Amino acid sequence: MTGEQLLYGLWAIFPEVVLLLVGLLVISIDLIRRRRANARLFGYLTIGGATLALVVVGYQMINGLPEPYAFSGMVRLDMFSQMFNVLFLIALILAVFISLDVKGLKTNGEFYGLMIFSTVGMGFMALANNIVMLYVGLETTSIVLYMLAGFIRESRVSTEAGIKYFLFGAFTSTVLLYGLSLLFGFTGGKTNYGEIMLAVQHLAAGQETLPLMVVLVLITVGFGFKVAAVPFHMWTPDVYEGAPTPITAFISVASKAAGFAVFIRFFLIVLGPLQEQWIGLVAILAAVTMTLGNLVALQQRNFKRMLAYSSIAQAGYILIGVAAVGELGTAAVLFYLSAYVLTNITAFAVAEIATNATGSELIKDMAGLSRRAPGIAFALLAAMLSLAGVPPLAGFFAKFYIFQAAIGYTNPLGQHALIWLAIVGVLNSIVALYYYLVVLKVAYVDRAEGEDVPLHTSGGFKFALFVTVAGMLIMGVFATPVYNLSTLAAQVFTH
Amino acid sequence: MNFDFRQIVLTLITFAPIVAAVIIFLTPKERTLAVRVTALTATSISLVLAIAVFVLYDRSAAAVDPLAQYQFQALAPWVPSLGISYHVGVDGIGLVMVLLTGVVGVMGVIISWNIKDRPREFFAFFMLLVAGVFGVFTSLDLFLLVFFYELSIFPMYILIATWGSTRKEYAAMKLTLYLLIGSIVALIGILAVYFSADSIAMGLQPGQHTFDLLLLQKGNIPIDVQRIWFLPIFIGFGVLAGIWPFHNWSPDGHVAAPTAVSMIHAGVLMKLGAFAAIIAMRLLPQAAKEQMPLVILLVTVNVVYGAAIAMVQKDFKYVIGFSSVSHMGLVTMGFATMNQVGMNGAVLQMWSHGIMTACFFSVVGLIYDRAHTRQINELSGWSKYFPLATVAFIIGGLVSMGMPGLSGFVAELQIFMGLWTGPFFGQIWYYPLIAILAIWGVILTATYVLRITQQVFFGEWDPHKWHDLRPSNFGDKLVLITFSALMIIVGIMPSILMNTIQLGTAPLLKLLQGG
Repeated sequence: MTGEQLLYGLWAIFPEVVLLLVGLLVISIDLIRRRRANARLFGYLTIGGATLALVVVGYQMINGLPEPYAFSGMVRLDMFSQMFNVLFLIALILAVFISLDVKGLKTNGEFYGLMIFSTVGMGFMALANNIVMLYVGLETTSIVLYMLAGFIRESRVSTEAGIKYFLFGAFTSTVLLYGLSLLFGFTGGKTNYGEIMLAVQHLAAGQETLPLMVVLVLITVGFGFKVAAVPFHMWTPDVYEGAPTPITAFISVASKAAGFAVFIRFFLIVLGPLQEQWIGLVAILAAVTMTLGNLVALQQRNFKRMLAYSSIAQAGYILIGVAAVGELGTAAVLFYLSAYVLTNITAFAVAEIATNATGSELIKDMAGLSRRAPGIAFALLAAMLSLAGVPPLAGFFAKFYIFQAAIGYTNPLGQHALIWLAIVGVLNSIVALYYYLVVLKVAYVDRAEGEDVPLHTSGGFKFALFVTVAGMLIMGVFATPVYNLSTLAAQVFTH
Repeated sequence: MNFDFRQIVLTLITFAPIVAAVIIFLTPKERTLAVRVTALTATSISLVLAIAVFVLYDRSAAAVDPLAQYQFQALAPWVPSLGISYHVGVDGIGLVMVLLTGVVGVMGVIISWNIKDRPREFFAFFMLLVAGVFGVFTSLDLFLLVFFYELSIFPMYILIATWGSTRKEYAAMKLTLYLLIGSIVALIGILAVYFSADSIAMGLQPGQHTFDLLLLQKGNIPIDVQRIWFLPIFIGFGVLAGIWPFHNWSPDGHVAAPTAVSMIHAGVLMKLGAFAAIIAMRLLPQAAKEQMPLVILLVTVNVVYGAAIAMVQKDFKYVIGFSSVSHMGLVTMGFATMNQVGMNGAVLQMWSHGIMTACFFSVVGLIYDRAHTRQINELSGWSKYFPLATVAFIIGGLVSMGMPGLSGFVAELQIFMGLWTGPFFGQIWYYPLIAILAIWGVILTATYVLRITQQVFFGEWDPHKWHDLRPSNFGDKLVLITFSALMIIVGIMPSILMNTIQLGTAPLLKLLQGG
């Protein structure tokens, strides 16, 4: 590799480089000035670093690159990867805002350092164009998140969350690795996506698809775990409940988005020749995931557990878009994830406030919220309705695009083959509406002791909530800019 | 962009309440007077503009050229890549509905002037509800229509669950789920139409799609798509018009809702269902010809069964709730006759029922606020205390019975005439039978209206029984007088509305005939 190529490669991964440096800086300050550090210094540093990285990503997106591949094709930088990077960074910034008031976290540099490192891993997942790169990125992200989930060592549930996440994660990533190594063997020792795709095409043309089916299943297990699809979702409720709330928020949006980034790129490019086989698989996965997620969410009493099942169901909706391959489907997925980042982080932020105020995570203990804190209750209203897909919030357009993509999908025979999936999705969104509305009912209607005591929240918190709610409303009315961006990113695979 | 009054007026009507909702949310919660005044100002602006639109609508142009029926149009791209646009405009039907919404919106604010519990939140959600309703009546883009349709449903949940009474949480949840299921089913149907419309016939590039109603009407939807999706769209929206057997949410919802919300809800929101349902007739005219004669069987049940159930209710408000089911059945029945007279009657019935029910609910609300009970057998003699409310209720009652000289008579007469005449493509044998059955609905209506009037308003008056008697204030009187006056004026001079309605139904009929 020449020096010029190296420099070019470094520019391609420059946002990740920036983040890595900021992460090291945060950890070093933590080591040197432990106990004397200014409260929230680490948080602000992280936000600053992430913003800087966001600027770099923005610059890369606007100016484009002469050549998308770098490091001999190990990474591919395009609108798709960069849009995901934007989502990860926004999720990081918002999650840090939520953590700024949490005791035990806000003064801990290690916590912020780890969050940054996991974001770096996610960046590489989005960029990966090579199975080794894919695995390294995935593990970087996951291992750090296992630590973060169990970060509060004094808490039994947090430790349990960490262990459980680790055991499930380690198991599924082994399965994934097994699938990848089989693929490596079947395709004659290729690692870059494009090369594997050609080999897969060759095998598929020769009707030798059975070994590839094994690979397909094994890899679906690995990715299914990351996006929390049924039946690889078992870890979700316990981890979401036990992990510190800012981390739960971060896992539920950023880690899930990263999972979809690798899912889409891998399935559309490497397994592209097998599309007819995997669309059915993904469609069934989507139907099962959303149905199970929603039905179990109905019975939850703990708000964070309910959100965990709701996020499983949301993964199901997103999988509809993955199954409806093509520009409409992929763009719908990207739009959905953008809306979902804002929405779910808002929901977890409110969970954090409510838990702090009452010491309970139960839904019924959110009673009186609208009297204590009308603004926070409104943020909850916006988040729940956006998750349910009600206008004028981002979730409405997101669901609409997904269903539209499913109805508009035509198989090679020209049939609209996924209408059934759209109908399953519609039925599901009605089930979901019920439990979202119950939360609102508790917050707005039910009375509680101490409901006249105003609830104080810090400025940073309020600011973050204001930004997310405004974002949901803006995306719910003026959906075009984000949708156009999603379409541009989706065109990476069609043009 | 050209800021011509005719282009922005509909947008102003819809967005005045939205702006008010934002302002109200930002007002400190102690300043309740400012909140109320903002709400009243916004709805008044909408009403004045609605009257202006009604007066300025160019009737002569619309009568000559069916293409000119949609006036005050504004068109701006929204999501151009998917053919979604902000396209608003009104025809004769929408015009009357916008006017109705304007009137009921202002009256709703006045009647809830003294609401105690969190007035800021109440009025903010109420404004969103009103805005959503205006939005649906003026939308010419189907995506926009569904957007506003759902926007007007979710505030209902909070309004009923928080400020309602009598099993309010159950009723609110039931209502929201029923209505959203309906609207999403309809949306799926609309998407199916969207993908199967003929791009070339609509004047678009091949492969390009649009949600624009005026273009989709020209889309030559294949007949098999029409047959599959006509009922899902018609009934999906029709849930909100209370079509049997999907009417169940409606009485519970009406009863549980606070007075102003019941008024808007029964008075205007249910018309939204009928208004959106006839879009299925516009889009899929061939299937409409085949399947509307089936729909009429469902709504016959509405008319008779709704009235029969209303007769045996013990709760005052439930009587009105079921009477709405019955009267909204007449509306859908009018559209199902598929001839000019019947559809004219249907639209006028939408207006007449809107005013009448809003009037009923305001009277019920006034009494309930003082008596704290709605059991009919516990109430008696209220004419001694509330002479004005009694008069208003009796006028409303006569309208619902179809008394000549009042708006209900003109509407119902035309619907029954339409039934006798039969659809434009020839008489169907059971239409006259349906007319004979449906007339029983009117007879039963007379029974329950007279029973209530006699029980609640006449008979012994015992002032000591009630400990919370307060005289009605100026606002309440204004509401009752306005509603009574409107019912009489339209009854005596139906032409002021009929001339406009005619301009809306004639092109609709032409569309059905052309298909």
